[in-house]
Amino acid sequence: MTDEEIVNLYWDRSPDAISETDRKYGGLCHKISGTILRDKRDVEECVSDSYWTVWNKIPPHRPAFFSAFLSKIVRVLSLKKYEYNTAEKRNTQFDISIDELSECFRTGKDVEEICDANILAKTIDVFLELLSEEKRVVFVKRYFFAETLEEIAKETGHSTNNTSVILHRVRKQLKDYLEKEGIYI
Amino acid sequence: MKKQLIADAMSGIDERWVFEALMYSPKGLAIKWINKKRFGVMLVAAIIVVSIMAAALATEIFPGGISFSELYPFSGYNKWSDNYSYKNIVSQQAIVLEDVTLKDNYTFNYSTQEKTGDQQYKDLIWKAGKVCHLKKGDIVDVVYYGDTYSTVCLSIKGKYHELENGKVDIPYGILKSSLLCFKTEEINKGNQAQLFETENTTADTQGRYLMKLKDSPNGNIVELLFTKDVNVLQRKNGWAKVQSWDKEKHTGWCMEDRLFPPIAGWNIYSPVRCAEDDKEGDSEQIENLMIEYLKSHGRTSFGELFVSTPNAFITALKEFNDSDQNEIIHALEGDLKDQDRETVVKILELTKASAIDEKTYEIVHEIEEQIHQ
Repeated sequence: MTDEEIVNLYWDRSPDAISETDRKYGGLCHKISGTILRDKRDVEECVSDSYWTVWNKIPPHRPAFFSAFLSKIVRVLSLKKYEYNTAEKRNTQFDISIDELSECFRTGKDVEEICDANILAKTIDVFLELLSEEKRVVFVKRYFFAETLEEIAKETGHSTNNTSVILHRVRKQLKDYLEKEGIYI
Repeated sequence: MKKQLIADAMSGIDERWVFEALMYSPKGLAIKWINKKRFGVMLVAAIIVVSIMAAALATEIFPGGISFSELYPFSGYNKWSDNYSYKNIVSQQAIVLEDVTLKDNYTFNYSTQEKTGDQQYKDLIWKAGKVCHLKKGDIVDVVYYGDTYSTVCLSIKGKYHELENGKVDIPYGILKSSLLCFKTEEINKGNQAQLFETENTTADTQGRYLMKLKDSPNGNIVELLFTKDVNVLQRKNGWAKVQSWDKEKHTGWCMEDRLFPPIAGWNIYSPVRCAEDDKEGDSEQIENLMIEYLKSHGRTSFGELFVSTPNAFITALKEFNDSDQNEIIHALEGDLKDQDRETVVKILELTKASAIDEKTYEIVHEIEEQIHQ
């Protein structure tokens, strides 16, 4: 079933919408959530909540990229759950990727200097626009989907070492870009 | 707090980037049937040569309604399959000249591209299982790939349809052998050297092609060192302009003639090395080159050379192919043991930090890893 057909099911308020979503994107949702949360039950809960959220958002929303729309919802809900669950426990893969990325950001001295997540997201969007498709994909796979270097290498046809090099360079570019733009967090 | 903010910001990035990353995964592609498990080791090779002039003339290849317009290098071969080196996929864009309905058993007519070489396409049959209407002005991608025989595939609006009998009538083995090669006696700076078709050409594990010259006076082998993303060339004849050639070192650079259209991944400059017929001579030759290089810098060891001029050393190292680079790095690793370790580590850090390109970074990283082992 195409994404458009699935979206139409939501618009028709058909219960099949969720089962079809699960059939097509259940694996992806579990993977995204699984990289953030450790507990399988938490992952299940987040994925179910995500379907419910999608059900409530469509209609009136009609996403242009259904898979991306769903992925973002799963990620946001999984992050909330993660935050709620623990501040001490660390999920290696997700934390490693965020640790890496946080090196690019300078801490602001004054409250006025500090920007919020929305501004930050928009800045990152502009930065991503400047990158080549290849670099952008590697970046998003690492810092949105929290994939391992090995997974990214496999999916993009690079060696693990090369993937690491690409990420290193993109992080450096991002750091320079954020400094140039005066972005602090 | 900081990390949470970053995580939230990443959640807020534009959906199109997320979608792009999702679709970049081979799992999201239409051609799932091309996979390693099912087909085993399957090399893909096929190339279209259409000159800019031929593009302008818009040679009719599908008189039924489709005509080639211009060479369109397929970007991102890894979109095709996971873990698979589909480096030789090439696609051409075609413009539909008049309304046409493709349905099963629709046959595209045979056509020869006289202007651009020897590619001939016979009886490409539409077997997609469904009717497809193409309108005048639509653009389709005609994608060539193959194993034993080159196969043609038509991509319409992002979906790929294999054309049955879509074989370019040149067996893959010959395609592989149709690489650029030239007479040694004509290799001189600024000369134009004619390229020859060669026989029994196979790539080694490094992707290098060793070719015996048909007309070689010394029985030498000319080795064209392609970079990893260079397509196998299908051309049987052509010209290469040699930019520089060192008769003593048997190394030089050649440039393909710009009369040919650019092909995806084909670097304008390809390092060329002339080695002795006997393969065992290769390592000796490399050693000689290394020694010459050391001498020219007034040094006695690579370690000494690296510590004194790290950037120059890396630049020179990049001139060698991967296999030779490894040998040199191995030699360097031994030499560096005699140097002050702290200095070496510092130099490596500085060189990496100031690396001007990814290749330099990779090389330094490689040296670092070797040293830390």
